[in-house]
This record gives sequence, structure tokens and C-alpha cells, in this order.
Amino acid sequence: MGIYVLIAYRNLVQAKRRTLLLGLALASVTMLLVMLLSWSSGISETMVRSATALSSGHVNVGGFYKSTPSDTAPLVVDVAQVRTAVEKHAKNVDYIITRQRGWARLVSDSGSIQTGIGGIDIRADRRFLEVVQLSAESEYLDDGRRQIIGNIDDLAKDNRVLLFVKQAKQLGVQVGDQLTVTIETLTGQTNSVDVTVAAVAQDVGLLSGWNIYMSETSVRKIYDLSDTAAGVIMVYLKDISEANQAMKTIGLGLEKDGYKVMEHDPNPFWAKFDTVIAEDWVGQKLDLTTWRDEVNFLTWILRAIDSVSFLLISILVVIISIGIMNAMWISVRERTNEIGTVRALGMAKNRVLTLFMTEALLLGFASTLLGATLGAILSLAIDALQLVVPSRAVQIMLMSDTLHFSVSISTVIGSTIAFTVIVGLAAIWPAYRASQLQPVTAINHVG
Amino acid sequence: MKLTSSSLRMLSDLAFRNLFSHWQKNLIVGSIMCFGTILVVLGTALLDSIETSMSRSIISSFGGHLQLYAKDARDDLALFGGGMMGASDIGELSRFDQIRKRLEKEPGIKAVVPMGISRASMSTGNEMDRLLETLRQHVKENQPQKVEKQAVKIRAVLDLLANELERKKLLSAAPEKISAELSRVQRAQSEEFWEQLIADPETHITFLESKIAPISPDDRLIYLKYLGTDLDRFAKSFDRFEIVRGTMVPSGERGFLINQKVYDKWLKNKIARELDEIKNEMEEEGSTIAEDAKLTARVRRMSRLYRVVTYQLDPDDSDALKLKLQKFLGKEQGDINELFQSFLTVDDKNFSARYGFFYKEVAPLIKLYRVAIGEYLNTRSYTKSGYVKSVRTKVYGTFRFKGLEASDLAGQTSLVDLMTFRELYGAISDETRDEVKAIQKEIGIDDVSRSSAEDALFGESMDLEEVVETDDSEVDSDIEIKFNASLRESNESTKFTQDDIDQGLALNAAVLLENPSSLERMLKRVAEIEEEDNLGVQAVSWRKASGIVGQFIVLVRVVLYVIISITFLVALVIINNSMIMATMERVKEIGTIRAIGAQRKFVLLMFLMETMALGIVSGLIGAGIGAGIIKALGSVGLPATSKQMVFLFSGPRLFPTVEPHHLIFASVVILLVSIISTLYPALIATRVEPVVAMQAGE
Repeated sequence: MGIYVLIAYRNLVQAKRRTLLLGLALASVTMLLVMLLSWSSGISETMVRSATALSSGHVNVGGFYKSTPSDTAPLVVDVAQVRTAVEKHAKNVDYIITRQRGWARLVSDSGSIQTGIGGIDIRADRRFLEVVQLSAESEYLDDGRRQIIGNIDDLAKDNRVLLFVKQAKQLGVQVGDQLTVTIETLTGQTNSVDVTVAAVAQDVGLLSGWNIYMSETSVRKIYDLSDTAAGVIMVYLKDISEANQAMKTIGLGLEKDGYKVMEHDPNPFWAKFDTVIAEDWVGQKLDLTTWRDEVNFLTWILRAIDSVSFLLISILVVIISIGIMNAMWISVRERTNEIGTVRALGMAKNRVLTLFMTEALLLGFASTLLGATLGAILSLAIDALQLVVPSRAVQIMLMSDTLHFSVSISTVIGSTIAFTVIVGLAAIWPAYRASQLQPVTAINHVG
Repeated sequence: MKLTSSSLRMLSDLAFRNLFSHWQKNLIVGSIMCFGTILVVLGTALLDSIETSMSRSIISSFGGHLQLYAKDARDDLALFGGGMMGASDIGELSRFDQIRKRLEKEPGIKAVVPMGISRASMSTGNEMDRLLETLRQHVKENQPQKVEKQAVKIRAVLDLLANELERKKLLSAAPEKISAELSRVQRAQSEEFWEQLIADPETHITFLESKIAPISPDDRLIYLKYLGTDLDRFAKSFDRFEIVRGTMVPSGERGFLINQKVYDKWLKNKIARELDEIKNEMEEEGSTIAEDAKLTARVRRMSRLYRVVTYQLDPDDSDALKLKLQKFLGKEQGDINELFQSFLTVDDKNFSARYGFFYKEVAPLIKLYRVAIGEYLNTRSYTKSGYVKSVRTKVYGTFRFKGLEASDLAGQTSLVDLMTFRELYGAISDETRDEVKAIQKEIGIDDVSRSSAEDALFGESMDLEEVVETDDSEVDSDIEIKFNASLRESNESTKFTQDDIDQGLALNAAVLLENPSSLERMLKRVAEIEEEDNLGVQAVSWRKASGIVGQFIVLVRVVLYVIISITFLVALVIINNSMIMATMERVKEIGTIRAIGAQRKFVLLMFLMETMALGIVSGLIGAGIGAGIIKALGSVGLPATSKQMVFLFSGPRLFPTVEPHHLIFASVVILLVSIISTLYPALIATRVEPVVAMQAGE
């Protein structure tokens, strides 16, 4: 085998220019592939990170409570009991929290926004504390100080609110300012309460524009809710990839315990009102979702990026394959004499085939490996630079203000192998033709 | 060497001859070029078609060619949203009249239409209120039989209300408050209450109106995005606008026109909507209920929603429908709920028959839309400074834009007269403002902006919570009823004149041009006028005004160009590579040509001509195939596979068209690529010395 590699290597070196150009093309396409894949998984990571910190657990046990057949409230009524049951049925759990969910209008002296409210227990909400970082005052105030003002722990107090930079700018407020939160209670009354800005956090992708946070008890108070009711029980697993399975297990367990569980509907809770209101039942039903369901209105972005990448890479693969075939053809033609000679000397057909295949694979492997490595390095470099995306539309697509690439070894290895295989496939036909040459015609071939 | 026509002819003869003599290389390079051309034709034609349909949706629905808004606006104008949930602050055009008069003098400007966009929650009212109104009427007309019948209905609703309150106690932090409400309902449920009611209707009906109606739930809220405008001028200027149901709002009157798309998508009875959508998916996408898992789940879910139909049925209608359903389904058993549920369990075979039955037999018995034409809507909106403002407005009809029925952009916004808009927005008239100013001067506050005028009028620290809490006291409820009644009267009767419309504020305005291609010029012209007359406006193109939507089109275009350039970059390398190898093979030939007297320039030209010949041939073939594909797509339509694509295509299918400039652009690009990729190989070829030709054979 070693001798084949050696011969192939020599042949490649001999046809230096061709090898270089072809290798360069291969390397750059592989590099592009690795970068696109890293980009896509970077966006996916951003999405998981912000979704699971801001609006969803890995698995959510929410529910709807209907006091008449024609209304509904997104609540779990006996939250303590349900939580115990969930704890009993869920496996490989990291931790479990409960949150309140609300929808409010925030009014300041100079602006107003419509937003979701999350009622959280800041001491228990680990993921939230990990992801949400407070921002320097200068980020949201024109002549603000370059230090963090406010304290995230103040969220434990009543009527304190955490905003994100974009919201603070829109409302024109800073830490310590008063805001009015207006909501509509379950009985259709309008309640409002004055709250104080406890802290302003850095934006966490697109989702942070749609949510503010207060303590669980404050939200409960505005909504006039009893202590036993909560919006959602959020389950965090040790491994997020088990979310689907865990949701099924918990659902079955709860049903066994006598809870009514709604048929799985892969949509965020706020998209279900329309259906739940129309259904003919009263009382409580639980609704289980995974994090993916709660942000399914965003996953199309990933799908779009992946399909565009796929399209681009396929086009390039077609072109590259044609190029490789062409190069191999010419290589075979140039060396027809040589082939004739070695065949006349007694080399078997399949050895000639192996010889050419080795040459193609060697070139393919070396250049794709180089390209993949370069792609990985470039991705890491861009990620480290934290480049700011200028257009709002692009920011929405990326769910972040900055470009984020996530490189994994498996992407690099996978791309290298995939492209080497493609090169191999493209080389089969020319190599086969070379091996089929008759020694006599081959030797006599001129040119 | 001078290039004579004969040598040029020889060159082209050579080029075409070589196309065939080196067919293998040429086939490969040619197919790459051909592929590239197809790609460019498809990409640019599709993108242009998307952009054309989207620009049409924006310009001829609400956008106009240009949009005007306040020069000192804090945020950018975004007609279709800017990606934040907050209302963006685009300032006000307080003297719209001046702006319109000045601009309409300008040649090339067809119309200037005032606008303001906002969102509000609306409700058709409260069922109890409606029932009591009828009861009062029957009492007044002295029709004891009808009174009795109405009493039965009201008591049924009271039973539901009592159940509801019981369940709500579970959720509430203040169950004692709900218990108090419950005891009031229980009083109204009792036999003696109704006996007394016959004797003394006035007191008892008033009790129901003031004590029970406020705690019985309002109909579910409807959230609408609306555009306040001078409706007459709007209808005249946007010529695709047409009324579908009902009538236009009469001049000088207040009223809503609901967008037909919103009407069908959000306000139609849920069952009817589900049936429509299932039918659509079966017809448009060719899906079947049996095979498409999503559709199967949809049908299963729909069958559980039978209540939205059966709940609405009168007892008489219900019995009649029951018989018809029994016959239709061939079933003897079951009450109306069970029968209707099994009716809704549709499959591929019976779907179209049941769809027909629904619209023929069921639809006439129910309220097919949550808001009927001619009904009044209680619209609640937050004013600029955060107060809740209520207005009662009649719905006159629904509208659409001809040819844009499928577009999500043209289909998301409803229309209201400008006066109602101003009221909901919280605008106050100039007189009031002057009045406030005078008062403030007296007490020593200097400046009053429009937004703070309200604070000034009502007192800044007015707490909404207090208002809610006082709801409980008896006095307040009475006041509220009277207030509501007066509100009703005041809004129904308020007429206005064209002057009223013109004199007040607008938030933005659409400018329609005689000639769309003068857009850039008119943008500059408006800026000049602003310089001269200081009207306080800025103008932006429809694309910029569309906010995030316009940016998305630009984004898609950038993505397409990036794809094309990367593709061509790689193709360039590959073609270049093939060419070099081909040149190497032809060293002997070149040597010979050189040996018989051809100059280097001739060789260079020979190579370039060859590639250009190849480029032209493959470019033409590619352009032909590309145009063919677009033509084919143009007749069957390219289906949108996701909601986002429906949005992008302005409908469920895109019917792309190909223009000559797409083909020319693609051909030019491909020629350029072929020439660039030949330059280096051709240069190598020119360096071949005649002597090589003789050596090569050895």
C-alpha cells in the first residue's frame, strides 16, 4: 500500500500546478462548508441559550384552566402537587423551577412597550442568573457611567423589575426609575402597579426584547392570583437532547396520577389560546412542551440558513466534481504511455485503478483537511472578534447582535471525510477507464 | 500584426472548429458555464419577481411611493413593524394640512394621504348587557310571553356565571371578593327575585345591569392593527382598494372597515376557519387526511371544537339541525353535541360533502363571524401617555386590495376614520391645548406638549388601580353605566367635516406619485421643500418605510449575490484549471502555429476567441434553459412551503416572470467569467516558443 501512496504523491508533485489549483478549490469549498456549519450551529446555540434562560425550561409543564367552556387562563392551579408529581416522574433532572407568565404594557414618562412578564424566583433560577448579565449604564444611557448600576438580587423584592438594554432605551429609563405596569386580570379587569427598575441587563438575542422579569410574588399580586397557582413548571435536564423523551415520560406519569394532559401540540403556549378556548371542557388540563416547541416560531430561521447552505454546497460540489473528473481525465491522457508501459510490464488492471484512486484520494484528503482546519480557525477567529451585525433584519435572523460561530471537532472531521469521499467518487470513472486501457494501444498512444 | 477582417474571420473559424476538436474539455467547461448561467437567470428572475410582488403589496396597499413623517421623530417609521413589540415613536405631523397643501402643488405628486397606525383591543360587548337590553325592551312593550322566554335565557347564563365564579375562587388571591359577587349572582338566580322582577321590573333590571352585568365576562377581545386615515381620500388614491362586504363609511361619519383577510383569518367561526384551511391544504398542496400527519392531528383537534357551533344554536334550530345531521350521517343515536362531533370527524372521502353541508345547513344558523357588519365595537387603546381610552365605533364593512388578496402585508391592517384614530391616540384639539396652556400659565408650568397635556388635564398621578378598586362600590357602577351610555351616544352621533379631518394631526402620510420612476427625484424634492418652507417633515421611500420587511428583501438579495459570487469564484478556479491543462496539451499545436508565422497576440486572441465562443454557446443554452424553467414556473407557480415563504411570495404561490435583462445580465456575467478564466492559460500559451513544437513530438 505504501508504494501506491508514494507513487501517487510523486505524481501529484510532478503535476504541481494542477494539484495546487485543484487542491485550492477543494480546500476553499471545504473551508466554506465548515464555516457555514459552524455558523448554523452557532445560531442554534444562541437560540437554545436564550430560549432556555428566558422563556422555557428543557421541558415545560404548563397548563390551561378554564372556568367556563369559553375562556381560559394559562395556569397550573395546584402547582405544588403537580410539581411533586413531576419530580417523581422525571429522570436525569438537573433542577426544577416554577415561574409566572404574564402579558403587560409598560409605560414610562417617555415611551411604552408591550411585553411578556416572567415572574421568577431569582435565587432558584440558575440558568437565568448564568445567562443574564447586567449591563453598564453607558449601554442604555447617553451619558451613563461605564459601570453596572443596580443589583440583580433586588429582583427578589416586591415590585422591582429587570429590563434589557433595548427596552430601557425604548422607555428612556435607568436603574431606580419608576414605571407603570398595566395588565388585564383573568376576570377582565385592568390592574396597574408602579414598579422600580432594579437592573438593566445586556440583550440576550431577540427573545430578550419580548420579556421583562419581576419576582414571582409581585406578578402573582398584580394578577390577583392565589398562592397555589403558577404559570409553568420548568424542568431542566442534565442533557437537553433527552427533552423529547423526558416530556413523554413525564406526561405519561402525570396521566397515570390522574391529571388530564392535553395532546402534544408543538407550539408555544400563547399560540394555543384560540384552540383551548374553543374546546368544551372546564377545569384544569396540563400541557407539556419542550423548549423547541416554545420557540418554534424561530426555528424557521435555522431551517432557512441550513437550506441555503445546503443549496450552495451542493452547487459547489457539482462544479468541483466536474473539475476533478476533468483533471483526472487529462492526467490519464497525459500518462497513457506510462500506463501502457506498466501494464506491459505486468501490472494488473485493478492495481492501475488503485493507483489513480490513491492519487485522487490523497489530493482530496490533504486539501479538505487543510480547508476544514482553516475553516475552523477562521470561524473561531470571527467568533472571538464579536463582530457586530449592522442590519436589524440580520440581527433578527441571527437572534443576536454579534456573529457567533460554534466549531466542533465532529464538523471538521465530518466535512473532511465527506469531501474526500466525493473526490473519490468523482475519480472512479476516469480511473476505471485508465485501468481498462490495452497495453499495446496505450504504448502507441501519442500525445 | 494588424488585425484584418480576414484574420478575424480566421480566428473565429478556428475558435468554432476548436470547440468540436477539443470537445471533451469543452463539454466540461461548457457545462459549468451553462450551469452558472442557469443559476444566475433563475436567481435574479425569482428575486425580482419576489420584489415586484412585495413592492406592489406595499405601495398599493398602505405605503404609497413615499412616506412622510416628523423630522424630529425618535424612531424610524416602520409601517409593518420594526421587530420590537413597543410602539415606535415617530412623532406627529401636527399641521398636516399645510404639508398636504404644499406638496399637492408640486407637479408629479398625485395625492398625499394622512395616516396613523396603532393597535387596539376590541370587544363586541357583554352577553348579559345584550340580554338585558332585550329584556328591558320586552318589558317596555308589555309582552309578558317574550319576557318569560328572555328570563329563561338570562337564568341559564346566570347558572353559567355562578359556576364560573366558583371555579375562579380557586385561582384568586382574594376569594372573599369573589364570594361576595357569587352571593349577588345567587340572589339573581332565586325564584323570588324573578317573581319580584315581574312586579317591579325597573329596580330589578337595574340591579342586574349594575350588579351582575359588570361581573359577567365580556366577549373575548379582538386585537386589531388599524390605520387611521381620511377614508375618502384613501379610497380615491389607492385604486386597488375595494369594499367586499357592507358599505364604505359615509363621508363625515365614524366607522371601521375590517381587512377581509383579518376577517377571514381571525374573526371567522373557528370551525368554519378550520374547514376552510383543511380544504385549502387538500386542494392546494394535494395533502390527504389519511397520510399527512399534521392534517390528521388537525382534524382530530377540530372535532373537539364542536362547541363553538352547538353553543350558538337556538333550541329550535338545534332540534332541526339534529334531525338533519341524523339523516346526513345515517345515525339515530346521540345529542346534538355528539352528532356534530362525529360530523366533524372528517376523512378524505367524506370531506367535500361535509364541507358543503356545513355551509349550506349549519352556517346560516350561527354567527359566522365574531363581528357582524353593522355591529358596534368597543375599542380600547392605550393613548400615548399610557391611559386607556375607549371608543365605540360601528363596523361598516370589509375591504381588500384587488390583486393583493393573498398578500400578508396588504392583509394585516384594518381601516378607521382619522377622527376615531385621533381620539384613541389621545390627541387633543388646539383649543383644548390653548386652554390647558392658559391654566398652566396660571399655575406656573411652562410648556405643554400634546402627550403631557392629558396629564395636565387629568392630573399626572391618576392611578388606574384606584379606578379598578372603586368598581365595587355601588355608586361607581351606576356612574359607569351612565358614562358608557353617554359614550355610546356621543360617539354614534359625532359627525365631522372635511375641515375637521384636515386641521388635525396625522402621524405619517403616504405620497402617491404620478410616475413611480421619479421616486428618487421626488425624495430630493421633498427635502428641498422642507429646507425652504420648514414644514417639519422628512420623506422616505416605501422600501425604507416598510421597516423590517424592506430590510429582509435586501438581505435575501445579498444572500443571492453572495451565493452567485462564491459559485463563480469556485467555477473560475475549476475552469482556469481545465484551461491550463488543455493548453498544456496543445503546446505542440501552438508551437506549430507560431512556427508558421503567427504572432503572440494572435495566439492570445485565438485562445480568448475560443473561450468566448464557448461562453456564448453555453451562455445561450443556459439562458434558454433558465428562461424555460422560469416560464414553466410562471404557469404552474412555485409553491411556498412555509409561512415565511408565503409572506415572501405575497401569496401561496409565486408566478415568476423572466425579463430580457435577466438573460443579458447572466450572459454578460458568464462571458466575463470565461474571459477572466482564460487569461492566464492564454498567457501561458503565448509564451510557447516555436521550437517547442518540434521538440514535443520526440
